[in-house]
Amino acid sequence: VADDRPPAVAAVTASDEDTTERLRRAEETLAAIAAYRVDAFVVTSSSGERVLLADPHAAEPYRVLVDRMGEGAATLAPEGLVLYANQRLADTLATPRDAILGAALLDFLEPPAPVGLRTALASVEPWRGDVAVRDARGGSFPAHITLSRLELDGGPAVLSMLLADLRERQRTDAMIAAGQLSERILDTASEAIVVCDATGTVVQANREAVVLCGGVDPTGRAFAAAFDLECDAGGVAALLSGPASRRRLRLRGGDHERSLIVSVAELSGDDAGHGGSVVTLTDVTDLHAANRRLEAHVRRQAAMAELTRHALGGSSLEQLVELARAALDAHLDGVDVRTRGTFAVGLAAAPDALPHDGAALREVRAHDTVLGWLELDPGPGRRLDPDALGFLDGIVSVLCMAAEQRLLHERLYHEAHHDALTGLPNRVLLEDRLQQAIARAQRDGTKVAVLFIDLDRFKYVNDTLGHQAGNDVLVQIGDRLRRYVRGSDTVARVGGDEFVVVHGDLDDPGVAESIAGAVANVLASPITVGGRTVRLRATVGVSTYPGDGLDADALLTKSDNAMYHGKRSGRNTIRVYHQHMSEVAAARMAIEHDFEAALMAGELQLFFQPQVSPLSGAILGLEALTRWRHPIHGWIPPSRFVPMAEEAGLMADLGTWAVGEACRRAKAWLGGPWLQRVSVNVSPAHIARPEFVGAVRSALTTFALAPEHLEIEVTEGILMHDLASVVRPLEALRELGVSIALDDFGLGYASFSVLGSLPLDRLKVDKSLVDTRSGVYASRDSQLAVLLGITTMANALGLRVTIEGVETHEELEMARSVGCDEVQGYLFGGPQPVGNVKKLLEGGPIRPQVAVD
Amino acid sequence: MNAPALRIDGEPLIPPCGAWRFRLYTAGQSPRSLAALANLHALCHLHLDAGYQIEVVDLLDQPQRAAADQILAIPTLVRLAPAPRRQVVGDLSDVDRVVAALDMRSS
Repeated sequence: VADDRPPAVAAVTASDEDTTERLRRAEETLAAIAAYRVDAFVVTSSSGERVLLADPHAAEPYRVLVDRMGEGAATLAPEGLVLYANQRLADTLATPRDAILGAALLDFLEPPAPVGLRTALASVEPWRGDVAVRDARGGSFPAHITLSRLELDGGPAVLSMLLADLRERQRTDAMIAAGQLSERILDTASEAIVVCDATGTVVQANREAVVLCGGVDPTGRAFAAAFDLECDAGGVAALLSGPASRRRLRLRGGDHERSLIVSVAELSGDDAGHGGSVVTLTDVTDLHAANRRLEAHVRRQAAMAELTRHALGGSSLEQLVELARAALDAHLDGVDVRTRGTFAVGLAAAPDALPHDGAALREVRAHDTVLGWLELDPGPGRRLDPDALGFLDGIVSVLCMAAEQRLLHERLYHEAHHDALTGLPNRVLLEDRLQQAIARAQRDGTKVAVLFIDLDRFKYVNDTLGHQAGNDVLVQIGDRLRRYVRGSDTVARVGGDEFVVVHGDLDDPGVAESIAGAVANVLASPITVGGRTVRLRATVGVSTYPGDGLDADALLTKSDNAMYHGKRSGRNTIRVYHQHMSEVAAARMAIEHDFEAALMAGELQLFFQPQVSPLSGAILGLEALTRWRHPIHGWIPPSRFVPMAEEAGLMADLGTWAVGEACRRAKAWLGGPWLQRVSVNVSPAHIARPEFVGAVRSALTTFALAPEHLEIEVTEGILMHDLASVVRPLEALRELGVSIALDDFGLGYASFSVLGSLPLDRLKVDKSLVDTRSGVYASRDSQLAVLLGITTMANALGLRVTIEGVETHEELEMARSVGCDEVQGYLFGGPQPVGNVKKLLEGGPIRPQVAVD
Repeated sequence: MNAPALRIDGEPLIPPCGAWRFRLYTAGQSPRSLAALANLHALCHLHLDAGYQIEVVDLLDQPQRAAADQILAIPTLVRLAPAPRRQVVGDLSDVDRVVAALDMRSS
């Protein structure tokens, strides 16, 4: 009948042989006991198995047997009352064992129980069949019951029952199937899979694991011993006992070293903790290499793409080279990356030989121009793999592309912003630079000077020497300007012969004028072009920010105007013009700078004025007087240029030149009957300089002139100096044999008291004291008295006296009457050019004659 | 001798000599153990003319060997070959049941 066999039971009739066999054996054991065919039992305890010889029909051994049954077991009294049950049955019925004892079996079954079972229970007969057992949740599960008749201790017959939980069998079936499946899976797996127990001993290993161990089954060995993994601190033991992990490890094995990916998964353990682990070892030795190569390739491609992005962006070639170097360095292991050359046009030098064959060198070139090299050095004895070379070539091609593009860009930029002839910035770039300089000045609170320079005689050069020479001149002028200015300054060519200099970071706008003068001066030195020397002059117009304008346009216009005004003044020379400069100041400044040039260019000459005996007119001495013959202005008197030289700090140069020149000339003239000496004027500032005495001695030596033939004239101004600083050099000169004269005595500062403290040989009385027409003196007698007093006093001090500025016979008479030693003045001739001196000396004593005005 | 074993294609159904192997678990000289051994020899002699091997395991001497075949009661006979393994619990006195259980064909 249908109620007798629940469908769930039928479903598992094709049971697993092992489970069936177990059940059969349990039944058979019970049957054997019931038939008195056994007389001993095996009892298992914590100390192991032990054989218990006993009468199986005694209740106690039987209970032991029941307790040991793998299945649920019980003894049942008639009507199915439970006399004894093992723990397994209690577990299966999900009921405490105490609650089972004494209960009826049928109470645990889903009604209706099979009729055969009910009958067997009632009559204590054997029975077997499937039943449905209630479970704790109100449902039921299938079970198989075997009833055997058993007589224990000679008492009434009871039933021994085995109750097999068929769910478990289902589960067991599934587990076994799963186990077999997983074993097959394990063996077909390409990874080595190893199961380890909690102690790290291999308890199972699949086929690949055996292969990995060189064909030796690692089962039973310690994992760490079976697999020689290169592990970090903690080693393999820590790997196994640690949490689930996956890492790349090397399996040592000499030449057969393998690269593995080792995954460790923890097996769920009992309550005590770790239950062992499953270790999967994937051999990625070959895969690893291929993967690494692919990954490296991808990374390098990305690096090249990155470099290309930079190349297309605004990065400079230098930046790109650095990026390229860094990329090569980052993506090539163990390779030394070097750059050679400057990666700038025109500065590349051929590289040294490669360090060894394994290295690679690649040119970075833009068209035909090699800018630099990249070098890869894998180290001695090693070679670069093709991937590395490919990467290098890729990087180099990006750099070449960028270099060509940069070069083209730079050339176009340069062409657009520079003058083709001189290479200087053109007006476009000038305005840009000027604007930048203005911005800086505005920020820093400084000034900017704009110098507009026009070459004065450039057209003449062009017309007479040709255009080529003209171009050469412009290039040379451009070079001079560029060399002269600071690196931060801008020199631009803005027209045929027009240049502009922008000089920023000025603190004092007044300095702009001196810079302009210096610049003009730089341009004034001779230029050799086509074998000829030409001398150009420049007119310079100056404007300054912020005084003359606030933007580039205004400043350029103002400086241009200033230059134009300079030109129009028609002086055709170096002119520094400033809009706010007075004409006089500008002219003075120009001449000052001219003077400096003149000193260098030999425009200075010495004139010589005779100093004669008042009685005979014999020429006793010659005073050297410096004259400047300006190429435009003609003769410029010392009264104009000496203050300039003083201001420009050129007095020492002037004095040294004059002493030398005087010595040179004197040597040729001395030896006549009367001429005893040549005197030279030296400024007190020059005398105070430490090199002065040496310069005089050097001049005497150079021209082989005896010291007694040289006289140094110092002005009264010397008394304004610290006496010590001038007395010592003057004494040194006198010790040498050179005589010293005090010039212009009586003009201003003269103090009789200090005359005694100066080492002097001669006093030169200023012409104002002998001038009879000046009206200074109340009478001729008083004038005579003053001159007489001076002469007397000088003689008393051991000084000779020369009276200067003797221009009339009356004045000569006066000089004679006071008994001076020499006179000097137009009555006996003014300063003479060198060419006249010899004739003058040969003419003998001079006859006084009134100068013609 | 009883009727010869059935043949199919002239081959004997009974496995060749030495193919039958038994292991008998005993508990020293316990009466059922001795009975089992005697019964086994008798059965083999009667039914297995091609030969057999018997290994006797005395669990009094080697109790730890009980675990291998999960022996609960003694005596127990295990048929090792031919496969599959079969177990018979008891002194083998119930001859018909034993012959059926062990598939020892008789005439």
